[in-house]
Amino acid sequence: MFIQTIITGLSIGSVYALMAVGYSLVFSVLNFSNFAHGAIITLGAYIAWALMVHYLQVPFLLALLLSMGGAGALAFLNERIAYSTLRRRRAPSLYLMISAMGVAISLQNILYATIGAKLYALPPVFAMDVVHMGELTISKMDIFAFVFSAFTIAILHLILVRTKVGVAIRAAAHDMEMVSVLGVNLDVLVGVLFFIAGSLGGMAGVFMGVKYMVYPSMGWITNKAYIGAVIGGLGSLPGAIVGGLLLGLLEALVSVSSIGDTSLSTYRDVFSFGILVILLIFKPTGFFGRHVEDKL
Amino acid sequence: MKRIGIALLIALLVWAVLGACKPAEKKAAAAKEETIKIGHTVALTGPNATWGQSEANALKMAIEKINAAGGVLGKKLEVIAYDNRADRLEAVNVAKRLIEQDKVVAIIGPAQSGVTNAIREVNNSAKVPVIATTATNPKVTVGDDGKVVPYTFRVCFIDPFQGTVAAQFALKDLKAKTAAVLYDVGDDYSQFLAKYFVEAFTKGGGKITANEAFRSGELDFRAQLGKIKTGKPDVLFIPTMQKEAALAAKQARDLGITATFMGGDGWASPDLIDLAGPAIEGAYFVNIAALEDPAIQDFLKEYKARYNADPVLPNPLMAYDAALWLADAIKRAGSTDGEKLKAALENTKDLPVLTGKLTIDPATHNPLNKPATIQQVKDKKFIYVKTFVTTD
Amino acid sequence: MAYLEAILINVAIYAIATLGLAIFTGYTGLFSLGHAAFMAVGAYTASILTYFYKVPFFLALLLGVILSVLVSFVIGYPTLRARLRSDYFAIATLGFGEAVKVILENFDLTQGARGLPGIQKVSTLGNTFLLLVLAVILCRNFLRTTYGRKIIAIGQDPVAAEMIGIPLLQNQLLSLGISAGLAGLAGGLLAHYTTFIQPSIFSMDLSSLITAGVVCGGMGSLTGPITAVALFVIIPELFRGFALWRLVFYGMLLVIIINWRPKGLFGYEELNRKNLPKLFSILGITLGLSLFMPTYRWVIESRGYEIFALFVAGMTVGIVTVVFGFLGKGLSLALSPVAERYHSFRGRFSKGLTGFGKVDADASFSRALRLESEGNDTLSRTHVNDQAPILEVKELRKNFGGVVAVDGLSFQLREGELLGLIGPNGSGKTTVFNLISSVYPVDGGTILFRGNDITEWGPTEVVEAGVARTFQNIRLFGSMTVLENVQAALHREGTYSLLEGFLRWPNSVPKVERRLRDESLYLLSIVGLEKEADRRASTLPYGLQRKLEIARALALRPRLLLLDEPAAGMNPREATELVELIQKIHRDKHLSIILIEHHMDVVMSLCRRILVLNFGRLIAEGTPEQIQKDPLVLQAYLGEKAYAIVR
Repeated sequence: MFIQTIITGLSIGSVYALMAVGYSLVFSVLNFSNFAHGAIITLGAYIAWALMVHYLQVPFLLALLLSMGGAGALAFLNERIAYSTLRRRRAPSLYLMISAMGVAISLQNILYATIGAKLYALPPVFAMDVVHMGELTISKMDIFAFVFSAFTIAILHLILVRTKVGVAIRAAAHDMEMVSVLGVNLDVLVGVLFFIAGSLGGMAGVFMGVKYMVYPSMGWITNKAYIGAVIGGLGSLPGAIVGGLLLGLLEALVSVSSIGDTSLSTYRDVFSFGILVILLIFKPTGFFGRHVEDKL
Repeated sequence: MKRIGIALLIALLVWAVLGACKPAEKKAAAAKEETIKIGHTVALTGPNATWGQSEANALKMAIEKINAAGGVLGKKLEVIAYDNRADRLEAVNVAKRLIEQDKVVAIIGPAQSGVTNAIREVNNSAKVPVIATTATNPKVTVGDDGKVVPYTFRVCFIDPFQGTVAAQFALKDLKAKTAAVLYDVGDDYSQFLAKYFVEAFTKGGGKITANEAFRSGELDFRAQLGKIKTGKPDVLFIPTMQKEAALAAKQARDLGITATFMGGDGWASPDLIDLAGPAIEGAYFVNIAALEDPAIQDFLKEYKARYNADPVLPNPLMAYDAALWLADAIKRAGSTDGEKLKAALENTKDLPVLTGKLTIDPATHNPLNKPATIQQVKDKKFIYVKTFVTTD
Repeated sequence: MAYLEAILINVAIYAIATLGLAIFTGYTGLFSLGHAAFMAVGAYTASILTYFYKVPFFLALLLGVILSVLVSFVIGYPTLRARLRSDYFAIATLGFGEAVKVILENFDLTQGARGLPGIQKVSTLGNTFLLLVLAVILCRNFLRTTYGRKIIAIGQDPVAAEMIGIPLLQNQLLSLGISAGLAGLAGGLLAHYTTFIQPSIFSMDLSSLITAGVVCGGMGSLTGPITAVALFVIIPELFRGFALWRLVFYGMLLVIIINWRPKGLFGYEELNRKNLPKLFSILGITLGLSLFMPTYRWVIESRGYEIFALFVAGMTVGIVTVVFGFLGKGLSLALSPVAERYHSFRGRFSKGLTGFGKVDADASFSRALRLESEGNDTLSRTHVNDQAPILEVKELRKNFGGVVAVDGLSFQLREGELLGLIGPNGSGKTTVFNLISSVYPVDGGTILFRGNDITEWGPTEVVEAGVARTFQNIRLFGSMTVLENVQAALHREGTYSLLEGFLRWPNSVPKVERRLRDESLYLLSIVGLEKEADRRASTLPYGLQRKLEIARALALRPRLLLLDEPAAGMNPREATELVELIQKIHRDKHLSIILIEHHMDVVMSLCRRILVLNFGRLIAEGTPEQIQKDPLVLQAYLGEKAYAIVR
């Protein structure tokens, strides 16, 4: 059962990690928590639902790609509407956070008010959804999601390392002003950044839709992803992945443990929060976070 | 510049409000004649809207039927419905508005136990009775001090009964020896139903192999289910709403759990089948009424003719019954005075309603001898299995 | 009318919670996503006490508040101590909010998810509004004390605040405690108004409602957030049935306001006479909107044309708004003579009150202070050269990653000396200041100040020991007035207790405040800024901002003043004035000064001795004449090739 629990933890953790990557990517350059990421993830899932169930019967892979594109475009728009003014004004990150929160509240409730609270399932991708290995079972969707996410993150890594835009993004993460002085168009750069982050969010949303279901408040789960990202260190991609997986594992392990007769599953969030605080006391910027010092 | 900004903001707000208002208030010009006003507090939006909208439709039908038969005390009944989103704080405001502003004589309403608890004091202090439709928690009508809550009534059965029915059905009809429970610790309905099931199942000689919980909003229960699997239970009782039930069923089957799934009336949404797919096939759940129940066929036909959809049970039936009950009580009281109405509601005996005969226990404000229906999911449909009466 | 009463009670309760967050987010600049959890703690404590133990209502409320404050310390201490960046802190509070809900859901005492029904209904319109007014008065008093100024300073610029000796942790905790206490109070009132509570009430929606109130009402205002949250409660009530869109509007409002009107309703200001027209316009809109539906319905009933009805209703809203706007303007105008008289009366009154029998003592206080400082300094005046050094730096090193910023630097500063520190860009001059004032931890070496090893001391301890500094890129508290900037630095001289501050205790607070004010004005007069005292610091011209920084540093009564490029960006005339100013304070205050400067005329005319840094190393030391001839210095400044040409 222990190994099964680990598998479960990794499966949950990979969802967190995938969400945390997009969130951390934005943080690495703009240094603020994009709380609207959860709403983008939700919208990504709804796009897939519209394509696969509601309007058309688009095949899964195509729907996945279209949702990624759609979510990326939405994230791009989100930046243009809600952040660009603040970014140009160099407003404190608190302002950007609040703006992001506003977007998150609005988008989620627009879904409630228009499409409604009804729950939807995305059609299963694989007919027989699990692989049995002796006592163990692994969901095929988990394997697919894992491989596809790893593949996408590898591509992202290549983009960041090999392409001009990627190099510019990495440079901007260190010093945005310098990059802009060097003649990089910051608007384009940030636009690309949000598109990438949004696409990753859309992907996470579609996977969630297939594994679980689609409904307006599904973005709630990104709260866990934020915690994962903080554990790993905000702004660090490996940090986001490690933090997300760790949180998933931790939750799964706490869920199956008990003290005496009390099962700990109901206290799970207290544990994840406790671990978070303890970690932050010793490593205020998480495992891989950069320590940013103020220039005086 | 500042002023323009403010003006724009205001314009936006006004525009938004206008936009929002337009469709709903079209038929605002109501008849001028004097009516007896009944409040309806219901979740028309939010996660419980599926039942709420159906409930509102059914209540409308019931009131029209009563009015067509001449109304009550020579007056027509009028329903004033407000959305409470199944939110406790919203519901308090709705109740206050219904009582203070619209001067309703009684409220038919909250479908959730928590929401009904929330407006308890409002009703008590204003002496306006409330009839909850599907609030099944026993503490809704009987306070912690063991005394009955004077102005709160209900037309549905209560959770201990539902939990007991589920447990006894599992023991007797399914011949289950062991059971596991997976419930939502953040939801009072789920928490209590789980508790009563465990009590009744153990009392009946069964063994609980695992009693696991998760928090509202969570989607992955495989860790808990993995633990449940090791106990190899005959039955897995999942007293939640359809969302968690569907997820749990899917994930349990994925993990290779072969137990029969069981649930409560929270499952009774057609969503369940779409969401859970084949995983939920063969599962049983307790409901207040079933579509196949012979007693309600006329109502179903009428509803379908009018709204071109099946009602989402059980709320419409309960609202319908509540309307009939209330109309009868007003007639017997001969007045709409709160205290007299309360007494009349309490002394209801063998009143013919849609789902049988209604008798109220004045000591608990609960209906007596309310049978439960057992339903099964079969071939992507809810099947009526039997009407179940508990044995002690 | 109980329905109206219900809405107003809601307004008062949310306003109290918002008030708390206004202090924490609006003034202290920390973002919390879990304030609903403090409301939950207050609500549950108070209700459990009144429900199970029959404790009197107000006592229970008070205990709820106390427990909320304690809980806030438990969560705040580790997180704030770790100096979490705002985002990390926000996520931590988000986790905290969830954790509190989990605990409430699981505990038997709190009866799990079902919550506590049947709590007594004790909150009334009277006592909630009384508490709201009380809370506003207390908060207002608090913000006008040294304690409040410390918190505002931290919110404006935590680094600068620390560099004037304001410890971050304890003041941020104080702010968190106040806001948690108010949230707890609001929670307790809410529980005793709705008569039941459940964990699910205290969700993130609630947290975001009060955050929305603070942001839309204006960060840095108390009455703005209250007005905003009142609107958030009232307006949706007028349109029941469309409550779902309410949250959409919150969200949009947040985005719109933070992007285009970041100053909120009243623009950083409190509700005052000038803002009356705005408030009245808002009232007008609210009232107009509430008339919208009845008007619409009335027209429909009599005529039936929908568009016409919409038009009439819209017009009603417009007319009511305009009428109210004019009413507000009129009232504001009508009040203006009264307000002036009130202000002058109050000024005279408070003067009379505090000055009664003590006028001389008070007035002579600042004079005495001046005398005292002069007296002290006469000791060291004549001994510039042979006294023990006031500052001794030995083998100081600092690395940033692989870059060595300061590389084994040693020097001494004699008491009363004015030392110049020059060097090309990036030679590590500012880093030396940052190491002395403990902004960065030292990687090696020791720093002795007046014989004490201050190498490991925290920034505020260094300030307290007598080291003050200014910044290369000016770090003032921008939205405070010029006077307040200096007053903030005088925080150690606020001798009254926090409780006295909250109550604005007439026996101590006004007196001390007046003294601080006089003292600040005196310090401003030294740098020639006394006329600008009531101007907002961020609106000062550049040169004056630098002078204000010097005044602020002087308020710390330093023995050693570190001036980081005070003449940067100044024209020659301003620079000459600055030289005179520095000479004046050096002479009058007998300070030891280290001056980093690129204006060579300034350095050469001020300093007897100059140190030259390059790549973190001391490459030359001596009088201005010696330095000007030193080949190494010329090489460092001009580069080797250019130097060869010059030679």
